Amino acid sequence: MTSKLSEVLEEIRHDRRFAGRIVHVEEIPARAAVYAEPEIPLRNLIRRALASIGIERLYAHQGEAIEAARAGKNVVIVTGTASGKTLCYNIPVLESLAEGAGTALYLFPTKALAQDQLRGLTRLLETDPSFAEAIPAGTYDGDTSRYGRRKLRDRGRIILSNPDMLHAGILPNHPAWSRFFSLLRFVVLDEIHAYRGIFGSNVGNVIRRLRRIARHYGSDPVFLCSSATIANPRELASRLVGGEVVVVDRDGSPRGPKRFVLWNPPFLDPNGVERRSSNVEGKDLLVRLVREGVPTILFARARITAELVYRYAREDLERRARRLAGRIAVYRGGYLPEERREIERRLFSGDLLAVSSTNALELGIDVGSLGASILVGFPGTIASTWQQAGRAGRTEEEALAVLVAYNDPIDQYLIRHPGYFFGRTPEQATIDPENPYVLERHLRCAAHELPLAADDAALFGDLLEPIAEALEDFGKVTRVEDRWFWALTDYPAAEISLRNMSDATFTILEKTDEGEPRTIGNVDAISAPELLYPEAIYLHEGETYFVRDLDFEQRVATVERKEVDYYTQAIVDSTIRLGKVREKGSLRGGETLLAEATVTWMTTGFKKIKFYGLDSIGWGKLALPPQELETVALGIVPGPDAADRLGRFGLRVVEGLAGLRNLLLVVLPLHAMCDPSNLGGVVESSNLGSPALFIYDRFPKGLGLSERGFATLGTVLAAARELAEGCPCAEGCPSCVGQPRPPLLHHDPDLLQGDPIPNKEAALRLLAIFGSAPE
Amino acid sequence: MRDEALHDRIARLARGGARRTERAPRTERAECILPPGREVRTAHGTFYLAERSLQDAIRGEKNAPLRFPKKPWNIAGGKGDLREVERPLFFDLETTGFASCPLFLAGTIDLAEGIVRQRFARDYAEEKAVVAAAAEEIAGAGTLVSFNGKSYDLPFLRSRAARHRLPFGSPPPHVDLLHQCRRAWRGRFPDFRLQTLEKAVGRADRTGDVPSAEIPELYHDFVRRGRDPRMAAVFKHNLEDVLTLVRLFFLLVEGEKKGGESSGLQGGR
Ligand SMILES: [Zn+2]
Repeated sequence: MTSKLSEVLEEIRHDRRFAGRIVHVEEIPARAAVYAEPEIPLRNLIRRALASIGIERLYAHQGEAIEAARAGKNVVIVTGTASGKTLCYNIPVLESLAEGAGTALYLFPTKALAQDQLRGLTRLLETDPSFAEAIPAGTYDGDTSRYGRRKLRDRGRIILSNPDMLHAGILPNHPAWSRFFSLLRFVVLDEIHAYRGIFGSNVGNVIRRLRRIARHYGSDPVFLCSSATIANPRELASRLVGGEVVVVDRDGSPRGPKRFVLWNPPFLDPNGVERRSSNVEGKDLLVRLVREGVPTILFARARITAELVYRYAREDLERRARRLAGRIAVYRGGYLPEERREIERRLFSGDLLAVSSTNALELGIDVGSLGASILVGFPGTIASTWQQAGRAGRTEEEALAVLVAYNDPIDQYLIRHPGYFFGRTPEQATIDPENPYVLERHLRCAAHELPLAADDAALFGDLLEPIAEALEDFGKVTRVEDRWFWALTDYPAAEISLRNMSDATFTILEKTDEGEPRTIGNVDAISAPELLYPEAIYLHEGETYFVRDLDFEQRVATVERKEVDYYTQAIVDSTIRLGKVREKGSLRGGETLLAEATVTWMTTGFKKIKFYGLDSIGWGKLALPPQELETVALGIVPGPDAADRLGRFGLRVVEGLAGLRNLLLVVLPLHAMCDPSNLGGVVESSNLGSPALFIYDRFPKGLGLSERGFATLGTVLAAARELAEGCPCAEGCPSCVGQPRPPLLHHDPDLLQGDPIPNKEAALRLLAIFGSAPE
Repeated sequence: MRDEALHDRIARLARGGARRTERAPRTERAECILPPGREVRTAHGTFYLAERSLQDAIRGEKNAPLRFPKKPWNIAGGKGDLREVERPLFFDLETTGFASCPLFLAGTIDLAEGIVRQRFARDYAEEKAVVAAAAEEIAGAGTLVSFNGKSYDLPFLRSRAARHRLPFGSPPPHVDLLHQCRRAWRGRFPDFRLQTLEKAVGRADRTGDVPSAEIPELYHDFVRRGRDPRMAAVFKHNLEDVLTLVRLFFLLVEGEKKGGESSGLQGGR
């Protein structure tokens, strides 16, 4: 029995134990449903299928999307979570496939989503045995058996997969898919907001390759996309699919009233410096809601935080409401797929009352009907915030979202300025399929799939010919008459990853006294030294495991179960070392350079932190091999008199550079057409003997991002100045000089104070010295 | 590092320069280095055909002479029965890797006609015509005879046909000698690779042969430069492979005539 949420919130508000926490409540009003049927009514087969899953009428946006799809137009659907987005593409696809012999390809950003969506699709198909028989559907990914793959290739009519699999598994073997491609009517791209930055540029090129192969087999599919709320869905979708796209964003689904609460943990000391642990506050709130019977999802910023909050909540419930302790779970990347499926299933069925999760559940996995969403810490973007908050309130009932702030400058700024927070528009999702470095990789793959011809420039753009010529000169392709053929025995797609991560993973093995060691999870190679160094405490389902050994050769971390009262945090040292300077330039008050650079990360030690506390109770030293990124960096070096000129105002150059770094991490992505997370930035003085700012590409060898910054620095600095001057804040805020630098992925934000928001005046004065405008 | 130089070239392109001004002239096709043959024009383009009589092909071989057994040519069926092989077409492909890569040479021997045909793609653009012609010849054969063709050559050809959007009808009955040899000579050889079995049929002479692993790269080089003297050796390699198929087939047929015993088998253990 669920209590009324508004009453629960009232009780919490007046509970003395929670006094002073709630600093703002934003009321988001309810909205009534708007229905609309498509002009030509749905076929009976579809209507019956919908009726048997309880759907009698269509919302306005569903009707609109169906009309557009029927008319053969590309569509992007931008409506809220639980607005019935899936039907916007499932209905027109099934309608068309039921009539003819067509096929459809569904692409999801993750395997988990594809598997989840298959469940929904199957429910619809199985309403009629002949329907299910006529339209074989299945997921095609790394988990699919050989037999299953073959069956889908030969008979499948709806394939659910991901861009990575399309890139490396399907397109290179297109002859085996000739039946499927020759009948391809629809391509569904779900959650396209995930395809931003370099990943999105890669996906855009995979789509171009897909369209080329489809054309080869005589088909020209319609693209049906969906996106979470971002600033530019039309632009993103049309750049991804390479054509005009109709935007459907009038959400006709009903929504209950929602309250969005900003929650600040209280000070622990009379001086107002330290606050109570936000993780523990999040836990208290979670336990309270669970005890009231409110189905709740809690989002943590790091895997370790999700584990900590879960552990705390379980311990709390075991003491106070034992029967509920088994009805909460923790969900994150790195668990075995079957464990994740099990949690998703229990959550969907209502068997679980709450889950403590990372953003792994932010994307649209159907988690059933939830009443509340707790965000422990600002997720970093407005788009993510609304996405996570939107996981609660999937029905017409009321819903609650709570943002529990950390004691760091950005979260505290949001707490102080709720108007700013709720008024901000979500971020843009920028991609650049024409990025020559990205394009070059995909043209290799494309040439391997089918020879490149000059008229492929219609798909790939004007760089096709010069890049093909470069590939020819380096022996990758051979020109025969007017076409370039792949001329090597290697398989180019195998060497090209769409994401910035190495695909390598470490296995986590638990050693026990009796029996064989068992695999309890895995972790990507980049994260392993930060999470599984020797003597680390690895948290898995809230339990503590002691790391015995981290084997880099075998890629295995050996852990054993050990009951301890602390967790650990890696101390990571990062340095940037400049290599060959490629180009130099000058500013009025300083110099610029474009150089090769090596960025190094190394786990040099770790801290032990007592559970529930924020204090370290011990530490250890480590000597792990460093991880290196060889890339390209843009350097901005203030001239010798900059220190004096800022000093006159009591300001320091490093402060100005820190603000400038944050400004450039906002502005440069718009010029280099990437995502802020594709860039890194540091201010340091060890390379040149004086303070300098370096912005680098977070990709091996660089992808031309910093390079574009160097080439257009005047414009970029002017834009930075315009942003800072135009920002209404007085001393700097997260929109201008205060944008956080990408946090250490695996650090518990509870323990990071975060850098203070740099002084805005220092940044502006520095920009003036650089001469983007007279001082 | 060539790839780094390529990266630099892309970097120059990114800055809007460095378009290549002149193209290296391509060398002319050098048919003189290929076995004698002619260009064939088809609806699917041209290819190079080296065609000669079987007698001509085996003349001057140092191996034991090819003795045709008396008909009927019976061979073990799937269930221990015997089936007669009529109008066999022996075939073997030279490819550049797995099915996503092109093939370039299809060798066939039609025993009824007594003709050896090697269809060769002088460049990638000619592959389609080779595939189409080979598929057509196979479709017209009485029986297809291959070595591991059930898992490799035939699916490869089918995949390349699909790649070129060519029709590929259901092939005639297919005798895969790999399976036949395994069944007939189980335990007699360390492995059942063609090169191992070939010694058993008295064809040990492979002087001047190109190792199979080098063939894909050799072909890519051939297309890139327009010539490569070693291509003649690849033709010979392919020819010898198909001829070995014929000898293996006859040996199996003889074996069946003698009640499953395989006489004439050499080098077994
Ligand atoms: Zn500001």
